[in-house]
Amino acid sequence: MNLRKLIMTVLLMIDCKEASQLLSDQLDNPLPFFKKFLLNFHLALCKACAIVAKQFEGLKKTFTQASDREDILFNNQEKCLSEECCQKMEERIKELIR
Amino acid sequence: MLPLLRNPMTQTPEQTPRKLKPELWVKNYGNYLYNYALGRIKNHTEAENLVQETFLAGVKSKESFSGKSTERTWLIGILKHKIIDLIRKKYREKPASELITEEQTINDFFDHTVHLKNKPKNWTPDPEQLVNNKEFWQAFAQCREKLPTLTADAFTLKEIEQMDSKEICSTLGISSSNFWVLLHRARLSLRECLENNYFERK
Repeated sequence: MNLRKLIMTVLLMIDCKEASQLLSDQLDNPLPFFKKFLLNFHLALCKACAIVAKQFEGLKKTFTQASDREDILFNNQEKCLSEECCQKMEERIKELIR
Repeated sequence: MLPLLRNPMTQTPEQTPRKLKPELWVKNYGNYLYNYALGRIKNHTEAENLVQETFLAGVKSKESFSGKSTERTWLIGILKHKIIDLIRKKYREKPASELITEEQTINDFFDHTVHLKNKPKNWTPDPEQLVNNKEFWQAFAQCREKLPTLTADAFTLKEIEQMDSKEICSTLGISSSNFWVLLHRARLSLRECLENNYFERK
């Protein structure tokens, strides 16, 4: 095992797996003081997790903005209902209106 | 409650109280509602049924339309509830506890030294700049397809439907700690997939 990685893990007190969970948690809930401290300490020394932190935050912002907008459908194809399906629906609506 | 009517001479089309036109719903909103549903649930037949149910429910509750929102927004509101009810029903019939152990492992992302297996790259642009980018959303939709069922539903309810986490836990029948782990997994998976299929695409 890489000695540098080993030293980093010992110094960091929490590993990347734990840091990653905390990064996810803090998007929705403020972390308790000590966890936040451990996380920030880890982020100061771990470039990979610092990048992930930024990306998690960025994606969260993107989804929050998008969920407010009706024009973003979170869907990658523009599907159409079949003719048959549309006709059936229109009939049922007509029946109900009467 | 009647909307305030102003002098008809000065009334702009926007201020005219909105009326529902169910006979035009399928034509005007059918595909839109269908695609909205497909953004949240996988099954095409279920999505069709939800659209149908939404229209019928709309006709039945015509009186509750206040005219404050558009027809479409109002119908979407009905559809949203039906989507959540469908998801709730799914997990009532098949409890999530079976799926949790399968889906809960985040170990696939981390190597034995507990660092991320795949080193993250810097992204340009920042994802917040991509809200209007069609390609980004296409990549996202594909990435979401890859999520296992329970994880996908947890993510959808939280980040897309913006539901309160306690409500999500009761809808899915899972504990709070399970939920946060699933959400973490969803975020790791999406992050990596978006990196490979959008930000670092060739």
